[in-house]
Amino acid sequence: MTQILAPADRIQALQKVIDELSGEGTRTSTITAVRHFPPLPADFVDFPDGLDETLVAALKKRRGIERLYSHQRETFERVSGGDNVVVVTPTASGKTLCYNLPVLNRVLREPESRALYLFPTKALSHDQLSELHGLIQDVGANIATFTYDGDTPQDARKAIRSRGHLVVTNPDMLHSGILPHHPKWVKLFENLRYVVIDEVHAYRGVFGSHLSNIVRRLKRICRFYGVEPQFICSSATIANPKELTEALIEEPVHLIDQNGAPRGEKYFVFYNPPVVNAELGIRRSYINETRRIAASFLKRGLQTIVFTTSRLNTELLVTYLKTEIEGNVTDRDLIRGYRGGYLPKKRREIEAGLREGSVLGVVSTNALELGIDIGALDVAVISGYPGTIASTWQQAGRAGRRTGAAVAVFIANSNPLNQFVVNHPNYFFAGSPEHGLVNPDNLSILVDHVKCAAFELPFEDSEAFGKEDLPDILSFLEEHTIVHHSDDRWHWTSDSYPAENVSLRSISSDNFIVYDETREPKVIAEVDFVSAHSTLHTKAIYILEGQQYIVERFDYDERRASVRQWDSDYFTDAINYTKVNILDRFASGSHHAGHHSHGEVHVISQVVGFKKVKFYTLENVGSGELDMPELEMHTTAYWLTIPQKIIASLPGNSEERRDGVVGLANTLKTMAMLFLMCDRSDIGVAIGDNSQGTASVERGFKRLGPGGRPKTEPMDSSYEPNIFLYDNYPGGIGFSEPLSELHSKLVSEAKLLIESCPCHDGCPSCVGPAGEVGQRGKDMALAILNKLTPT
Amino acid sequence: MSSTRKRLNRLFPAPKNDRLTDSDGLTNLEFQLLGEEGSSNLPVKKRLERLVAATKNRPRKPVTTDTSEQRAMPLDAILGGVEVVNDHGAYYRVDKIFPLDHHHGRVALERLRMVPRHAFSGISRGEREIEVDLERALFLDTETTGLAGGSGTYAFLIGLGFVEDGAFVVRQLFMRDYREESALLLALGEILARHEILVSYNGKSFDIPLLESRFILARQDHCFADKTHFDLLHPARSLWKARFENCRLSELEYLLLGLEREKDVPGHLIPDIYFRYVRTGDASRLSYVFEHNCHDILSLAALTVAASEMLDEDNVPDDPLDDFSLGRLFERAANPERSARHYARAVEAGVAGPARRRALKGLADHKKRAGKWAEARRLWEELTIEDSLDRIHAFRELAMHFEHRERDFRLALDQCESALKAIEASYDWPLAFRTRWRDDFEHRRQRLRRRSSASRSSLDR
Repeated sequence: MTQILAPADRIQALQKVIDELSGEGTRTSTITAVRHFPPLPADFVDFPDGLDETLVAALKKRRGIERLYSHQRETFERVSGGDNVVVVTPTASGKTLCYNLPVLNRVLREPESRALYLFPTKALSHDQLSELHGLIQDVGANIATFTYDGDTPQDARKAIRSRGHLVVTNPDMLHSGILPHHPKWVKLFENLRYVVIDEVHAYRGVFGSHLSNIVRRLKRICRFYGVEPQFICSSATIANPKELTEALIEEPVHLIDQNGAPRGEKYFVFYNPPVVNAELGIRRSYINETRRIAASFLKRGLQTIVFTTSRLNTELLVTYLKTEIEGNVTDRDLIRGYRGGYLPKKRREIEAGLREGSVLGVVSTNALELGIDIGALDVAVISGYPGTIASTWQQAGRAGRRTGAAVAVFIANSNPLNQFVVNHPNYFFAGSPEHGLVNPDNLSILVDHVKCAAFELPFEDSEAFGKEDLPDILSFLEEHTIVHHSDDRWHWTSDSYPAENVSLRSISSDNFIVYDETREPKVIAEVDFVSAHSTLHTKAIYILEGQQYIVERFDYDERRASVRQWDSDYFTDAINYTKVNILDRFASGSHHAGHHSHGEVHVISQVVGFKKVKFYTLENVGSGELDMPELEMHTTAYWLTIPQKIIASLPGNSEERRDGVVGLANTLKTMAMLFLMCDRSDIGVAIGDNSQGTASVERGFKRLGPGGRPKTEPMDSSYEPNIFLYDNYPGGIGFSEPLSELHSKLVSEAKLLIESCPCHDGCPSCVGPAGEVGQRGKDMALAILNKLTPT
Repeated sequence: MSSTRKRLNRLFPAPKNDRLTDSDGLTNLEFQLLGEEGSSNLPVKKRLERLVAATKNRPRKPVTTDTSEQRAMPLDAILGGVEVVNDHGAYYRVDKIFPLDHHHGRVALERLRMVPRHAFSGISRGEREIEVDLERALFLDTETTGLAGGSGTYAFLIGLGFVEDGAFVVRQLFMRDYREESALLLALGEILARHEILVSYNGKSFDIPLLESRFILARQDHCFADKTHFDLLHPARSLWKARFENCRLSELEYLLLGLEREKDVPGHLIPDIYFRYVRTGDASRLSYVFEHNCHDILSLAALTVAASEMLDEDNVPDDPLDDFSLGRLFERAANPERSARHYARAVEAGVAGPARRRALKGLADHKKRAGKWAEARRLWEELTIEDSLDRIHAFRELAMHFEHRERDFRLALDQCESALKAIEASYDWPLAFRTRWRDDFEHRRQRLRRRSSASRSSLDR
């Protein structure tokens, strides 16, 4: 039977596994980095003068906290001085006390004061609530604290509205449940002193752009009640926490990033599964490698958390590890799974088991990445890149005890992002290049929130809301009979409830409904309008929580798709035919031989077919044609122009040159995803011809395979390709300008990625598989990059 | 960069515009269809079919603000009210005076004065005693720009009814534009201050919270908290739900007051009528809304009288279902004596179905508590003949009665056997229910068998 180790034996066991891994790594060149972080002592300071005696006493007597970490005191003093702050410190550094101290202190001094806590998810707010309850109980003060979200019973809501000192909620509830009913919250708003926004880095892209507008509405309502609350925010490590927070709350923010918490000794290991087929660039299954490595820690009695990127993989690994570790009946429940969809009671039980040590190993989705308290473990195994450096550090932070060593192992899968990161550990360890970006003035998002704001309070002529021309928007809305101008005010004149029709996690509310018709038809999902075209077309394999479905009917007019449960060894990838027209060039520049620009574009895209791609090996196993409606969109884009003379100077024939452009486009997209912390679907990519005036005609992304529509027009000598990376949201979400600024980095890192990839002719980990991009795609892409960035 | 406006038009292209204007077009259309033919009684489906048919052939109209023709219908000509100016500005007021001998349906308004102050006391448990002096009451009903609630919903028309100088006055406060809201609320506050009691229909969850929000938004104080608020909806539901199922005000006025509205405007069209007036100044349809609101106020007053009469001790209802409703109402209000009286009358008059069973059960409970065992037993026995879940309850009561009170174990055993047989035969009952009761009776049967054999053996000795 496996047992959890005593502290003394732990270090020895850890050291042993690390030595083993390193030894193996040298033999097979699978270990790309082993970083050692020596322990750091705590930077302790005395309690600040302004802190209430009862609070200090409670911390000392009940919690054994004799002194504060320096960043906790700095936060307190900055907030006392009237500043907005954002605290950036790693996992388990006493972050919650940073915002709870000033808030509780204020309520103790002025019992009427109120604070609002915002957490990105419901689960997180429940966890924070119990933390707050505990602290308040220790203080022994009468401070009413409640969560207010979709689960709050109707009959409790009235009391919360008038009595709650601290109200813990999420952006969705603030948006649709609190702000539109602000007169019922008069007590809260008249006395609102602090707004706490935790996990600020989660608010980027569309979600962040919505949040920024919700904050605008919140502040507008606060002005009505004559208060001006301070914002206390926290963020994981990203490149621009201060800028992101300032973009979200539109006020100056003081950055606190000097961490005073102690750090135990830690190793961070990067592991890339060995190549088994160099031709196709196929590596050994990372899931099996995860199982093997996690088991080597678990067998030595080291408490281990395994992070996966999907619910399916979570269940898979739990099964594997249970078989391997749980030798007999008494070992039952030594290994547990943890993910969204588990009942709260079960989750609490697992969390407690981890804290107490009765659970040796847990396999989790990113559900355990954020602040939920599970204590500190010995090992974190990160199976597949979580998408951002910030998340990776948060997951790695789950391992790390105050005394003794801890290990984090990152195991890469074969997708390009994973391969880039695992092969460029410096990129990862040298400080975050990831930017959290928002565009609160995206017109379609802005208009939605102007509506909500007009519903909440009439707009006055002199008011501003965002950076666009508000009177223009309001008169536009008046023409649509949504508001009415009278004297110097704009009033809401519609019997609808606008917040209901705004989804914070996407732009359009014109969604497709997915019906599972395996048995009695039932709704299983909602898919936004744009993605529906590429994920719900007839014969698409639609995957939801690991279950595969095949789409039997796509009904455009009814906005619905009928699917049936299905079991296949392939997934489908839609083939998009995209045409980009440049409408307006905001700025352009040159870097070495290439030109880059950003501006407004008109994108017309159509799904014309789909490929069937085999799971794991990513082989192309078939295709089909489709006739889907065209999608039109105005958005913003960054584009790279490759001068005609570079193209002309390339070796090979015109088709092979074009393959190189396609390969480069794929790689640039990968790098952009990395820098902007966004998903595949957030950025669109297209190739056009700059020689045809500004109008750009799609050329690449061809080879539909048997039965598809080949798109290989002959290339004339004037061909000058534009590679467009556009924001895949109407109106743009603010990616194009930063991409333009990051241009030289984008190009040089793309070069690094391709150069360091061990495949021969291109693979999914760099320019895309040769079968898709073309036999010489990798060569050509590299040739173009060499000409663009002469060394 | 292109102007905000240009990009807005690009972002929200033409088809969407059409959809947005449709609601207004629909309003006209439906209103004409319904108004001209007075067809509000048509089933919804019929109305929809007509609408669809009419929409199909309708040419798309651009949004128009040209209403020169409609402006020919000014407010005064249609409504006959006056502009009133107070400290916060102007608003519009329409007064309609009804002499007290006016009959609204079968109820004369002067009966408002005869309603005893304690008519509505003791009808709901836990609530403080309500004294309702209807002569000093303010009847209130609002017309709003939507039903969704929230701070974007306005009460543009506030209908008030009260007795003054020997007449019943319906006073309607109206904002001709959003700018008049402040003056409107100030006027409402003044009238409110002169009355002790507020009477509404569903005002507790709709009208009053909405008005409170409006006062806060207008930065005015309000005195709702000082008023006694009598919301007729809840008593009306207990009194008439058994008879009518649907307890909407318009439904009750038809069934109880014998009134049928002609050309009544459907509630969901009211916001659009108001928005149209505000935008274009076309008041032609507003009169329907004012009539609708006035009618609601009068019905509210008349139904309050009807409810008080039904609650009157000396009242003997014509419909036995009314007795049943009263029995249940007083049972819940912890007035067992009165409850039993009504239940008994309901059973006597021959109510049927669930009402009869509920009455028998309530009556039996009452007799049991009063220690009138013979009567309770007779009622339970009647209940066991009923074909419903209630008979199981009766078997159980009887079994306990025979076992503990009459100490007749054989009779008690009979009850258990009958109950078990009934449970077995009733496949359509919920499984959990059947299991629970089967366990209960089997346990009881076992004990009774033990006790009866023990008593037999003691007899033998």
